[in-house]
Amino acid sequence: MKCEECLPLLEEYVDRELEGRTAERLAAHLAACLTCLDALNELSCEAELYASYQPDINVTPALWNAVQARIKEEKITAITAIFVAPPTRLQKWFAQQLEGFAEFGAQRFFQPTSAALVLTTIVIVAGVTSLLRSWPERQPEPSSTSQTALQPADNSGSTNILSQPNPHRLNNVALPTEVSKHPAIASGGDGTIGTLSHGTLNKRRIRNATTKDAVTTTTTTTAAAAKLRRASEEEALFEREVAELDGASTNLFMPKSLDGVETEIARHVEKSQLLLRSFRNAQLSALTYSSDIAYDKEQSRKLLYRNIILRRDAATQGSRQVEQLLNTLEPILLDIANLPDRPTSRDVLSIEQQMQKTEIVAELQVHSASATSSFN
Amino acid sequence: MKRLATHVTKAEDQPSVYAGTLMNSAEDLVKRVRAGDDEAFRCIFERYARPMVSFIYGMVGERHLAEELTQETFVRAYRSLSTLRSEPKISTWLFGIAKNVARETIRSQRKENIRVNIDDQAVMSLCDHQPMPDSQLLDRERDQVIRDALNALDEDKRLVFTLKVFQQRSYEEIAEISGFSIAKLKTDLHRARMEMRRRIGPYMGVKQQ
Repeated sequence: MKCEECLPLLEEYVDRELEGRTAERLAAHLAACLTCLDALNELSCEAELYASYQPDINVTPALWNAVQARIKEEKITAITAIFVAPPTRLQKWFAQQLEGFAEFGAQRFFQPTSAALVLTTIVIVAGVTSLLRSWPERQPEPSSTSQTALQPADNSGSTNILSQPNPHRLNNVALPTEVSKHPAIASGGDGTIGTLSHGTLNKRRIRNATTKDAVTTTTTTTAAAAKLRRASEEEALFEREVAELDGASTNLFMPKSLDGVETEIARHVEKSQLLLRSFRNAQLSALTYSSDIAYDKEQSRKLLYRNIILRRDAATQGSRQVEQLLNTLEPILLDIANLPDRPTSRDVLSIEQQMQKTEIVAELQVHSASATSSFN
Repeated sequence: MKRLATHVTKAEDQPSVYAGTLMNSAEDLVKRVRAGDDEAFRCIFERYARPMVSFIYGMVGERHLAEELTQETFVRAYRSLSTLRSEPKISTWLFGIAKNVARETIRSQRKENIRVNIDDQAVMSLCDHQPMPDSQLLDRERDQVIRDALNALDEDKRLVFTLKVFQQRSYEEIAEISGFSIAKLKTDLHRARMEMRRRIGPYMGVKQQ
């Protein structure tokens, strides 16, 4: 073996990674070559130096106690997770499928219908009205046919559906009853919420649509009036929801038919923008709990439900730009709401990356600016 | 010389060691953990905690952070062990988890621009102005120099150097832990040695190659 061949192998030799015939040949060369032997001695001194390196670390009982505590916490979380929602992506997929079916059913029944269909719906409404009147403990005394027909449906049907595993349930979320009365959302007996199956949702929509159609028949015969009435009912629901969630008075908005919805969207966009900026600026230590994150999670949950409602209404009204904006916002709100109590830096980082990729904060800002200019 | 073996023989220095720890093979312990025996996991912890802390400390350079990340490593190990389909070689597997945990932290620190760069000139000036014995340093100063030089290496070189020189892992184990090819890790190890030599050489009287 020559020096040119020996020198590059010295490190492996010192590391005891050289075996077999190569090691023997190298050892034989070292016995005869002082240059290579000096190089080997230097490497050996280095190795001894590193071997004497003693980092000032100690493994204390506190370390094991901390590990044990976290393991117990994980076990408790794992047991609890059996009864809560599946992973975020599955939730989103189910939500999208549900909304697709709901929109399909809604479009079918909100389109203008022939006179024959209107007459048929009158007959159905009359039958439904008489049924509702036979349940006095559930329904308030009607002052007019229209009010009876437009009362939110009771939750008896939804309870049966929610007894089955519901993929739309978020983790440990309880909402005010006003929100839970929204057609797309139903309350379970344990205070948690879930969204209705597409079958129940369509049934409610048919019932609501037929009753509304009956109302318009008694007052006007145009589909536009039915939309107007529905929009005003929705605005009233939004108003109650906003008042409950914001803890403010019920006179936040001046419902002006469809303008009220636009105001609601603008407010929602502004609040979402504030939330995302707050989340982006929050300083989170990798292994410690941050009260900022808990607050952001709570706000995100509230904004998420509002976002679902507003997005679907934007889709129904054909506001594609708003629908797209809210569609982009929704998964981010969902991910923030589903952060664990002790999020890791990776959890937070993935959401921040998603925000950067979609440029959602800038999009929200643009929408806010255009909404402000149109209001002025 | 196996550093891990040294740590095992110093079992009497550990705060709480069970008599049966050394008698249980790693494979037996893994089987017992997968069967739900939490005491077996404690034995694994007792056996590998110090190498884990040492390795992670070599990677991140902060003692308190190294302990926290060691916690995270063992929690992840516990979480994954029960769901593994086959029993892994526990030391290599633990080092792999520790590597990932350390890397995540390093990358998030880099993003937050927390890491402090080593000033070579400041290190060299220490040699010029401070009186010191011939070719020798006080132990603490030596350790500080090595630690600073280690922190100055890039992530891949630091990983390979720490596993090979301080943890005495074989090339095959390092390749499995890091995911690098053996050719790459040999190259990184050689370059890491050269860089370490350049930084600590003035203190050690080691001839720079």
